[in-house]
Amino acid sequence: MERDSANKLVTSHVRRWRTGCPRSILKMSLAYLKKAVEQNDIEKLIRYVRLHFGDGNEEAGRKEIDKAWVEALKLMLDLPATDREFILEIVATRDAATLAHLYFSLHFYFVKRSGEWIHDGEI
Amino acid sequence: MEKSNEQLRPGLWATVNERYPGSMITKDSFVPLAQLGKPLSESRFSFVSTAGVQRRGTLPFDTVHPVGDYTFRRVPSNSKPHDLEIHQLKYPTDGAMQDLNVIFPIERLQELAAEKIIGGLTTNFFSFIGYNMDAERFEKTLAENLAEAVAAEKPDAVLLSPA
Repeated sequence: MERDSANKLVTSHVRRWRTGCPRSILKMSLAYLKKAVEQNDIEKLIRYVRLHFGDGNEEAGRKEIDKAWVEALKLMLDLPATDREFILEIVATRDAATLAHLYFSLHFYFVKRSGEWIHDGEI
Repeated sequence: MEKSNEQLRPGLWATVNERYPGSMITKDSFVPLAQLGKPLSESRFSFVSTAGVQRRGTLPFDTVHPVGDYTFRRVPSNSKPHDLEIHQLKYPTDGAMQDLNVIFPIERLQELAAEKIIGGLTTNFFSFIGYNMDAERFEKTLAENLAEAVAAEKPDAVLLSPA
């Protein structure tokens, strides 16, 4: 019962905050990106990706993305044996959103593997 | 007290919006200060941080997701720094890696409780990462879930600490 009261209190506070909150903050931040998708504004979208990889610095992000690709390429030059069955299975059996998440993860993985880590924290 | 932006650093949102275009943050609501209802020595404290601190061995915060992570972690308040680790990419952690207390002062709070300067600590503290680009999702999921979890611990006061 005490917990229920606490939950009601919190819900009440959140509702009151939301009611009194300016519309500006209730806008989704993602509206900017979704509108860019609708308008096929590639520059806005790729800038966002660069800023994400560059921790807010677009030029640093561009270098980070390039670095990830270079690191991946270097690993392929000697044609090492790779687990293609694994790759094919993952691509065939996982949904596109999971693969997109993996794509971002792999970029950061190769950035880190390069040995040059410009980011403040750790993944 | 007059409602204003005085709780915020001037130009803060302009900085954020330049760094992350599309954030569209123009928050200008005023959060009224609350009075502590009992002496510090009788008050149970909780702690909420955006530092991305979590127990070792738990699912790391999703620092690579382009839109952010909307989950939080419970951090037992009796943890030792070596029980904990940090997963985030958006603030310098060099100092925190040497002494976690600089960003997540868990031992200092434990000391204050042991010395009876404060009445005690909730069983859990709480942490999440501050990189959340979807303000509406943040409000409807993380903020509400976290507020509910904190309230369930029945603190008398909660320390909020952005990283």
